[in-house]
Amino acid sequence: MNKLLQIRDLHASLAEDGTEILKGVNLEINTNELHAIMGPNGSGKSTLANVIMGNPKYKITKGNILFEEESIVNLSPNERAMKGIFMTFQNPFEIEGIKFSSFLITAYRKLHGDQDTFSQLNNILKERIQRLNVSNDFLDRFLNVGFSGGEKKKSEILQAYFLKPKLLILDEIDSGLDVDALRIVANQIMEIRKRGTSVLIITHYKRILDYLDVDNVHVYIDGKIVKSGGIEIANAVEEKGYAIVKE
Amino acid sequence: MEKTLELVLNNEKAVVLKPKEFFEEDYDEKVFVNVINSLKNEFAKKYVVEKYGEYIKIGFPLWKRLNFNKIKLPDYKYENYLESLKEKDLEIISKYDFEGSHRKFVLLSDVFSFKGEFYEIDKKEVIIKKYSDKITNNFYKVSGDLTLIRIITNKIFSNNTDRFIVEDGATLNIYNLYFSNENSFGTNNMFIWAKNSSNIKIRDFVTGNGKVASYLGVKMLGENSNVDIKPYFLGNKNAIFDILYLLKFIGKGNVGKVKANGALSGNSKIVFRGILDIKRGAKNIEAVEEEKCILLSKESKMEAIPSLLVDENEVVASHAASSAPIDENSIFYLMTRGFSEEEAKNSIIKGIFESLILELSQFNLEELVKNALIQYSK
Repeated sequence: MNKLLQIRDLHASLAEDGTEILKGVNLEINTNELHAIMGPNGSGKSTLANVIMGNPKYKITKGNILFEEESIVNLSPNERAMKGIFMTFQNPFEIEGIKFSSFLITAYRKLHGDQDTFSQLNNILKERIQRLNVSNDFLDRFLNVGFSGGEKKKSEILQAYFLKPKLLILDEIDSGLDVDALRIVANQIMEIRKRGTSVLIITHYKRILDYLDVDNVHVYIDGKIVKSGGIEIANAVEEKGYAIVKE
Repeated sequence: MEKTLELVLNNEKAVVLKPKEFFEEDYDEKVFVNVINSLKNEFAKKYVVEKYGEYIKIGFPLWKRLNFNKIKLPDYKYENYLESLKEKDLEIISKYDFEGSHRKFVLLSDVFSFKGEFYEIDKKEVIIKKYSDKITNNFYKVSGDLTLIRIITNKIFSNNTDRFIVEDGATLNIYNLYFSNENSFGTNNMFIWAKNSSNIKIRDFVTGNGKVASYLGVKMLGENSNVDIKPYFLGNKNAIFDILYLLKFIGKGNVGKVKANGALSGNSKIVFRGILDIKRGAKNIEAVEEEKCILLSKESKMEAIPSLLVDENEVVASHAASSAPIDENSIFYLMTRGFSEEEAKNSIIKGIFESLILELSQFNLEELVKNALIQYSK
């Protein structure tokens, strides 16, 4: 198995005031693996996702992030996306005036070139939305504008499928989803995995992990990973809470 | 005459201070004599003499926010539509009068317009007008379905005045596309009297580097009308746009919304005045005013001056304004999908105007906005 993502002793702070949030994260994800990160509110899980993606709100003060054996810490977010990293957002942003289908096709061409015709790509999108149980005008609307919470999550997972990343980071993709929507999103994640995409899923709840084949579960507290193991860790967290790290 | 601000409560009335005025560079009496001599229609002559009597007593306003303190009027060319009007038409026009951004500019069109027409629209019609540095004056009586598109290019000075009566159940769509060149000054005054169940849609697009003073008033005289106004603006260099929207709610069940959106760069500035004037008896109305502005430079700015005048309890009225640089979260979001920072910014700015571009495409006029955006991003 090839090493896809290697995070080594990663420290990062808020660029605005220097508050340290990541306090020495170590993590390795190989190709075709699914890792889950669980942790209490405010522990810095989303910050980790944002730092991997290159959000300029955060500054790396120590450590390194390697993707396919190369450091990516000096790359812009779009350069990281070009390398094959994709992140879904907890609260995806609404952008007026950008039609969702045009946005997806433009993004696809930026990441994968323009070999595929507009109509080929459009057909893929039309076929994909059938699986998401969304309204027919989903692709004709402006990007996330007026989408419900569930539709926003489905928009993110559609992007994740369509843009074919090598590493998919899911930041609380399950929050706010009802049982049916959760199953739909989990099925999409499994389809994405079948293509060999590695997944890092950040979640509060074990329920989405029940639908997925999880390789590793990490407990993340106060800016670093404090315990790692298999799905039994998620079961223990579900049962006893984060007190398990003290055991 | 429709005043912009009527601050009356019970027996008390507030006085609205007027700006200082200047009289230099105005048309002299010889020009007026030419106007009168060229008119053969006695009713029209009487109308113009009456308006001129008011005109000469008023100077041009010294507007501080617009930095407006001198004027260069174009050479007078006579093509006044009043000549062809009958007495009854002139009676209607006299009845529908308004103050505008400043009374002087409304009167300037009434007395010295080069171009103008009196329209009675009783079926579905699309009218496209192109003006450049003109003094114009039009009157529209709409009982059918009118779409009016005005493409106005200000190179030095222009002054456009338009009055509309929208009859019961009629539809009025207006697209005002203003392109203001550097050092130009353009004034625009429009007033709409809406009767029952009328449908009014207005899209304003103001762009360029010059100064624009625009005024649009809508008085909802009847009941259950819908007024949907979306101003878009794109200012650059030393542009100053001073735009005012006045919605007067008289009857019951009317809906009036003004939702403005735009971007400013360089030293440009927008003064956005929104007045929602809800009179007693205007029950069950909905009044909304929103302004959003993306500031692309430290020097650009928006001044939002909202006025909510509510004299009725059973209403829904709201106002919101925001001006800020492009949202960094949105830029980051697009960058994670492969857009460069520059592409992300351009997409967000273009996105503001996309709905307008789509609407204009039905008249094959979308390129006007697209080209303005291309010029803007250079």
